[in-house]
Amino acid sequence: MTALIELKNIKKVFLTEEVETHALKDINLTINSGEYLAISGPSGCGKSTLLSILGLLDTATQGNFRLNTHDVSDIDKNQRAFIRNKEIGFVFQSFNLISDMTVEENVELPLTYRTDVSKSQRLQMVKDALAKVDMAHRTKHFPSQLSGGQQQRVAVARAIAGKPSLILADEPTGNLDSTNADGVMALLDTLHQDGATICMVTHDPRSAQRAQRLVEIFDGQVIADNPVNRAAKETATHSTEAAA
Amino acid sequence: MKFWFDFKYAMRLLMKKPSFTALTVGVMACGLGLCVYMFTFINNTMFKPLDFENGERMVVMDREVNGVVSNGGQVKFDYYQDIKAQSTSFDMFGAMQNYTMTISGGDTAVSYDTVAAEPMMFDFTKVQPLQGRVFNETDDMPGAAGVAVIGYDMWQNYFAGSKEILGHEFYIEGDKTQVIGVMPQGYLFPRSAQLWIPIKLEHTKYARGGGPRVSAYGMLKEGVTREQANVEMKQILNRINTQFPEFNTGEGIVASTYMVSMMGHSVIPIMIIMLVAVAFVLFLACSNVGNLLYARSNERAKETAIRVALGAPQSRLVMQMLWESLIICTLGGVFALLMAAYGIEVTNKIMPTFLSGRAPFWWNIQLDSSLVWFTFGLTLVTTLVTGIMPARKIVNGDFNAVLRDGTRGAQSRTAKRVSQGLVIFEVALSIALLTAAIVMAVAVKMAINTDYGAKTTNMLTARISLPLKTYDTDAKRIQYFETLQTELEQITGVTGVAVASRTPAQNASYRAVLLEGMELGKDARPPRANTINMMPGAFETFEFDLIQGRYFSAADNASSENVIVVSQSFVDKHWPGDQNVLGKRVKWADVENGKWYRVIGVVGTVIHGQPFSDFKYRPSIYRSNLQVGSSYMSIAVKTSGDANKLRKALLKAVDSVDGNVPAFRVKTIEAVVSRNTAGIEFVIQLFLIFGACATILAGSGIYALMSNAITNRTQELGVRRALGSTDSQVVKMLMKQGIWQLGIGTVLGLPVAFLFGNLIMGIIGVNSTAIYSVFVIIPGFIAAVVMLATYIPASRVTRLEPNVALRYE
Ligand SMILES: Nc1ncnc2c1ncn2[C@@H]1O[C@H](COP(=O)(O)OP(=O)(O)O)[C@@H](O)[C@H]1O
Ligand SMILES: [Mg+2]
Repeated sequence: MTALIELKNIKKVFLTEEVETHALKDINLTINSGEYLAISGPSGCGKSTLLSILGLLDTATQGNFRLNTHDVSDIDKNQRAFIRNKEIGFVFQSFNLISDMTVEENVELPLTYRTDVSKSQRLQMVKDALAKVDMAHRTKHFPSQLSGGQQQRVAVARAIAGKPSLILADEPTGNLDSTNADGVMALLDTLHQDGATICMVTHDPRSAQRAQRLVEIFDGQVIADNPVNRAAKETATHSTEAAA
Repeated sequence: MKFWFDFKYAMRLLMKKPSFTALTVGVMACGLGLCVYMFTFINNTMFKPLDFENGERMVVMDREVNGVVSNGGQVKFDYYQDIKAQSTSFDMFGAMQNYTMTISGGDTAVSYDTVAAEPMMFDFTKVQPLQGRVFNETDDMPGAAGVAVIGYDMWQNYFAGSKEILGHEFYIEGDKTQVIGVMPQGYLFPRSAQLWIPIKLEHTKYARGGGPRVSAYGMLKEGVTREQANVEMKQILNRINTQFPEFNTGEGIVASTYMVSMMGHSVIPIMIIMLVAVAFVLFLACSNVGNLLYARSNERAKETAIRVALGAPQSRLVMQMLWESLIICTLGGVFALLMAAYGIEVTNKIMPTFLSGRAPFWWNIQLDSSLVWFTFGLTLVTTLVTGIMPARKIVNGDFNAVLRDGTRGAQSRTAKRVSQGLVIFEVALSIALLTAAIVMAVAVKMAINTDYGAKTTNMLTARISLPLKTYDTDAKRIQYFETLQTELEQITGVTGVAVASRTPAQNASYRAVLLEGMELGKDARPPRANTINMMPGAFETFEFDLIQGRYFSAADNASSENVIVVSQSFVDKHWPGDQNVLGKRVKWADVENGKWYRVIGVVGTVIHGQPFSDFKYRPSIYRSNLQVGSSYMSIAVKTSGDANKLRKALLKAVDSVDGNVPAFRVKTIEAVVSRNTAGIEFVIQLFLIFGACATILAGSGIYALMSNAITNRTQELGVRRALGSTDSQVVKMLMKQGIWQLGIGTVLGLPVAFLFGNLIMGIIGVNSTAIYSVFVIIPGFIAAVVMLATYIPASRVTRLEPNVALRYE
């Protein structure tokens, strides 16, 4: 498998009113194409900071970041925007749909930032994405007319409409009740089965179990990085092997 | 297509907040409208070349005396000849003379603006006659038979559009003249002429220092500027003056455009100040709209953050912001054009009333294509200016933070200071401007309503100018006016007739006088007084107040002692407190060994001219016309009803006395009175519009700042309220911010308003304590506007439920 993302010695320091916050300290992480990764850890440990660096929303103070083998540590704002638009899909805890745009327009919005997609192609892509999240019947609605779960499904549609190589989700079920949360998680499962690379921040262990791999962060450092499910199995296997 | 996507969205946002949109569009319309109007006005009256081929090269020579340029002044004949012979700056250089001439031989006798010119004038304007020919060198020879080229209006009106007009004979001031050509409609060169005759200058006849003064004009050579021509003319005149120092009177010649020459050179700086002022208003409008949009971009920080996360290129983000600016400014521009068009229509109607004669033909201000382009350009500039603050925020803002933990990008300290300063400035400006405007309006209204001291209603007035050729003695002229007076008295409905050189409210000549027994200090200039000639009975008809002595009678004629009646203002000025005024003597200072005139009566002060300070209290001297025999008089007929109805009868009566003497400028005395103040009333309207714009600006400026500040504090306010602060406490806290800006603005603006207000009252000559209430009412009104602009966003916050405000992102 090829490495989609390679982080080497990533550090992030925030400077606010002369106080230095070391949000990330020496992070090393590789994510392969097609992987489904969960990131968890206590509040304030740096999960969101890590995700925004992965999503090129923010730059690391130090370290090296390769995306698809290209070094993206030092590229300029507009190039970052270009990559973000083409390669990355975001899903936020608070949905972040634009309230004065219809469902359709919200999903179309990132596609309008592309120069190589025609209007008809765009509409087809919007249609496909909304069909995937089962929201094709609500295209002309405004976000305020939808339930939280529906809004998050539209947000997922927006994230996948441009067929990005990486989907980043920051506590996507944080604002949802369990039924709706399960729906969104199932949606991510499907996307993953269709080949998407997903990187999801969550502190819900149940959600984390759905991923293939769980990265645990504490105080800006990776403290554990294990495959899910198999982890328990493998621990057992190891112990039997050891016992044997 | 993506443009459509963004445009649609921008439109939707603007429609969603109609009050915001209306406010911003209104502010832009104010700023742009004033600018466009002012630009058009100034361009059309001052800078646009005349509408002739090579119009931009046409200049007229103004006389300069000791550095002061008097517009339209005629130049010495010598200088005209010298420059024509020696200058290399001009393709053509000519002379003309302007007259108002009496025409007879058609239906009636009428006056027309007449130009005596060289044949060259028609080459100068390069306009072909509609019929016949223009005059040539032979026609212009001294002694040649009288010929004339007439204007289209004269042809249509005086000659009733006669088909056999060419060769038709008529009389100009009694001289037989033949029509040889008709100029096309709209040809009124140089200003409002309808009749052109050869000037017949005898170039070689006059010795140096002789010859008539002439109005000189010229066509600059291609590539030669007015400045270069002026430098060359100065050199020529210097040479001449060294050669003939005995004829040097310190006079110079300055080439001006026709428009500047008409308006006066001193008007240029005023116009420039006006332009700067409106540019300033436009700038304020832009910064207000910019501020409002900036407030909006703050409110929409999250939306921008989402767009950033979705990979929007910066150019698209900025474009999104600019769409809104563009839509607002374009709408503002459209309204501005409508407003300017309306203003121009009004101006076109009012401007000619500023002049006593006919307005020059170029005073027809038009909204032309260049103006639409100007508005379009201005709209683009304002779009950029208003969009720049929000756009900068987008380029520099940290939107990541907004997305992640919901903190809003707080307004930077400098941006906050700038907008606060702006609001203070706007408050000061609107107080100063609106107060001054209202003071002016009230003062002028008071001045207009002042008593002229005589009757200014129910009279029809006209002017009579007797041709000196036929009326060559005082006796003949007096005889004419006595006959006319009798004729006018016969008209049914007429209750009184006055014949006087000036009616009340008409400007009178202001002459230097000497008082008997008065010691004039060495370099002191003699005092001046209005001088008016009255036929017997005029005082009675005009209803002057007789304070002492008597009015004129038929016995005050050429064979009796020279007498005068003076105004109370004359007595107050020269003999204050003196009980024995009757019998004192006065004479003209500008006549050597002149006759003395004895005071036989004192009348109440009557205003001759505008009812403003200087004119209002001018001393006046009235002479008996029986002792003067003036050829140029005003007549007035009094009635109990609508004086306009007497028009026909008046013209008929004048015609019956002498068919060759026309009555002209026939108008009611009310029209005379209102013409006196039409100009200032127009200026007041402009000022009031300025004041209203300033108020809208101040209101919107405060509103923008407060919305901005309050939106930034929504979360904080939510917390306060969650902790138990009442709505009124929150509103009060927010209002405080508006109040201190209001306070500083008032402290700065009120003294300026006071200064201007007093200046204006001084100029207009009204001093009433009632006016001072304006200095309280207007700042109070501005305060109310400011408070309202603060209250609206403040109360909006309290309408949010506290928990919504807390989660407000
Ligand atoms: N823009 C910022 N400025 C200053 N400090 C920040 C900023 N963003 C995050 N932090 C700090 O960095 C640390 C990690 O934050 P975050 O990544 O949001 O944590 P998590 O998402 O794991 O709860 C916290 O201490 C937070 O206060
Ligand atoms: Mg977080």
